[in-house]
Amino acid sequence: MGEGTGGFVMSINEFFNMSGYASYVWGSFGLAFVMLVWQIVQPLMEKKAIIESILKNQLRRRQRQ
Amino acid sequence: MKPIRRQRLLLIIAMVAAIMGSVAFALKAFNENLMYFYSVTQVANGESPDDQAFRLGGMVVEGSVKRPGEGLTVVFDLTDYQSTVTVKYTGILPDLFREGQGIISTGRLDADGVFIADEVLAKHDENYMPPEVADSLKQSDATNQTGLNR
Amino acid sequence: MNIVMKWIHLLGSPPYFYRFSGKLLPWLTVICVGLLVWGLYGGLVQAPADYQQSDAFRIIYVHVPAAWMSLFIYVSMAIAGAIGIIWHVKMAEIVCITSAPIGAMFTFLALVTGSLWGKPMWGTWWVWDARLTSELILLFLYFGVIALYRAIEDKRMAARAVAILALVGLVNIPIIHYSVEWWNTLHQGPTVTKFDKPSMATSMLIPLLVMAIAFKVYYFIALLLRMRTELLQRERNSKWVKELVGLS
Repeated sequence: MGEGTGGFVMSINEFFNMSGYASYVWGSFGLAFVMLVWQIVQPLMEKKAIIESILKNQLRRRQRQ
Repeated sequence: MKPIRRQRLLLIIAMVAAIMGSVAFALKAFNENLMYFYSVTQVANGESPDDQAFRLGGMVVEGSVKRPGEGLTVVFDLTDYQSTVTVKYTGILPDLFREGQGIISTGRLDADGVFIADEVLAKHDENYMPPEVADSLKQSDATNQTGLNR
Repeated sequence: MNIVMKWIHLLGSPPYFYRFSGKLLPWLTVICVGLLVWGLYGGLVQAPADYQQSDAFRIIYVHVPAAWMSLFIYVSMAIAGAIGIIWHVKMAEIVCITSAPIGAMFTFLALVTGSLWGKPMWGTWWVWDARLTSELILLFLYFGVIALYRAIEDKRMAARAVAILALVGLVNIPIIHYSVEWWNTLHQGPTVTKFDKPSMATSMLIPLLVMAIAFKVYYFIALLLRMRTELLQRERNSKWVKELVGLS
């Protein structure tokens, strides 16, 4: 990335530009981020659904009694 | 056998068949790639096929890359340090393509013994270093002809 | 019985495991996020651009750790499966089956990021070379494990079948690793795992190793989360789950 020739703003632009490979580099990191987050969120949502279904079953059983 | 069990069994059989099929297909795919791979020396000795496309691997000779026209056509020599073959290619070259770099190209020989490439792929080595290190390596090793700079 | 064995035995009990992993998870999350920030800063900001690939080389900071994890998780999955079959350890069965989706994700990530690197550098998204093809087969193996587990109703049976499939697929692991040496591949040879002179500048190598450790910790987190969910599902009628959700 090198030292920014035009100061801070320039080096920020350079950073995001990735010397022209922005779409490939940020595409890779972006995909990784989305997948890693999803892999955490999915079991948590599943867990929530299981707990809800246990509670619902219990409620139904009580209403029947 | 219960119908539900038979259904499961069929599903498993289908799945195993699918996996085996994909493995076989993949093995065949890269076997073919290996089969039609020729070195520059083999091509220079006339061992390559005339009637079909094959893959050619080698190093781009330093100082041989020429652009004869205005367009995307590029001509360069490819070597394996024993023989040399001229390659002609029209299209966009990969970013790692440079003189002294290894490439793998697909195409066929024309009547004059020039390799007309349909595809040029750059092979990367396993070395990673900052430009400054590469420069100093180049200076310390005057015989190094790997073309470290763009 | 020594203290370590006793503790391992305790972890085999679902309520104890659930409670213990619940305490462990926040710490692991802090460690993982810290390592990720360090690795990403080192890889994206501090590390110099490569002399040939310039900034495109930074893709290796996801690609290589993801590819390592795809192999590491497969081996863990197969070992856990084997333990499950031989000693009938229920927890090992759960490790085996819950590892599969995580491993599949890392394999997919390695393939896609490799493709994103290959397009500008090699000049193609994909080639049928030995390394890429064997990694693709690894993805199919993970899919096979997931599909097989879902297809069999009896979960004990399913776990056994899955373990056998995972063990058979183990032959693919050395093939992936040595493919770049055994065949003439477009994919380059190993950089970090070869033992002669290092082929990577230290300033580039350290963030790579940090990312690799961060991904290992991440796998542990994702695995614990999936195991906890699987335990709740399997033991939904047991006393400890009812107590946990506030019924009793």
